[in-house]
Amino acid sequence: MGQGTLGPLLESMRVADPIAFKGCFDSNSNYDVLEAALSTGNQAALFSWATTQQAQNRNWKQSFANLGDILSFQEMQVDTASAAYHPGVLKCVEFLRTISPILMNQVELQSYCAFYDLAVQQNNLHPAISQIKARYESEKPTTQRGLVKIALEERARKALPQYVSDCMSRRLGILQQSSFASTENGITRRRTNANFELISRDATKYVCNI
Amino acid sequence: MASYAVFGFDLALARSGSSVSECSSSQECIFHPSNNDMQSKLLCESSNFSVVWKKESTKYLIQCRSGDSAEDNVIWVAERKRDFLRRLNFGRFIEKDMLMNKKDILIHDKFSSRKLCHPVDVKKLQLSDFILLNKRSTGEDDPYCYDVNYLAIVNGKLSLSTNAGPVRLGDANYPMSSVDAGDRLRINKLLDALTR
Repeated sequence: MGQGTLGPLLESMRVADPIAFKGCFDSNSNYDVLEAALSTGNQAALFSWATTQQAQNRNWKQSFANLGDILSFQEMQVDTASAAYHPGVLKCVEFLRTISPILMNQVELQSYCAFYDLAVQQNNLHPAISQIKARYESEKPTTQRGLVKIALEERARKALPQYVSDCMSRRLGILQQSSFASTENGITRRRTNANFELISRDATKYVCNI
Repeated sequence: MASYAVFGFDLALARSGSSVSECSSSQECIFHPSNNDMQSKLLCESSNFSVVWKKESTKYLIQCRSGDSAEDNVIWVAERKRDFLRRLNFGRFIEKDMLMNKKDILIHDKFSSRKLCHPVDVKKLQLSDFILLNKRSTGEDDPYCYDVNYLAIVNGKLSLSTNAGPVRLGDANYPMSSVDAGDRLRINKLLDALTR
């Protein structure tokens, strides 16, 4: 909600199937207020509705669970998530192509997934651009994975100290498709991902249209 | 939306496409400038810009949620009476009433909802001017939680504490800095318009 992304998603669900959408909210949901906020795009009213619901409606979560039970709404949620972070991946790729157009000519699935995760947590590579360039010049990686690893590590190091090991573990785990333990600033994190196996099957295959 | 007469707030602003929520029982009022507001545009590229103030005081919190990650948030805390202004680069604002009314609140996150790391310290909550939520990595099965950061401006100085105790100013996990002259001017113009 705070990112301003929930309102448009809910409104697209409502417009796509108004009856099913309304049916997800019980009598304590103050549905008319929600509908008015969505239809007018009033972010403040939507925020107010959400906070009031959390405070006053003990079953507020059930409404969202109900939305998640409807297949077409699930698909819209996935589409929204993809649309939100795909541009972030493209920015990472565009930047690395300025460093090495050859290594980044086509984008491997493992690179795409790691950059997608980076876009979710850290938006882009921008704060680490000079460090990435410097390491590329000194280490001269010969594979896309080697270059991407440099980019992920240097961007992770630009996170606040308490986040660095979490960023590092998440991204390098995706890149190697197995859990990766990282210790930075005295904090150790080893994040796992149920979908490592899915990536590893096609890790070095290229993603279309990038 | 109710009619507003909060602390000299200019209704013309509300009519210009900006919006104000009602002031809460904790005396917090929230103002969302319209997308066309020049001062907020100049301050940051924001997907969600808001100004929070304490009714009957000159303390303000201005939040610019830029992009979608907490570390890129920019927050300015001000006490106009003392010409105090500080820039923070962590956390996200939450209304005190939300924590007061629902101690086990779940915080909406990108793909799921997260718990608070610790129960709210009600005494600290009451004594604070503003509250920030600071996302923490837990290293556990539920990998993240939100830590409650209690902000207070006392005698023109910012004090920050968590449930674990006071935060040392200069702690790299709580980056803050002074405000450059350009942003100071923009913030003052924004707040001038708000309190006109």
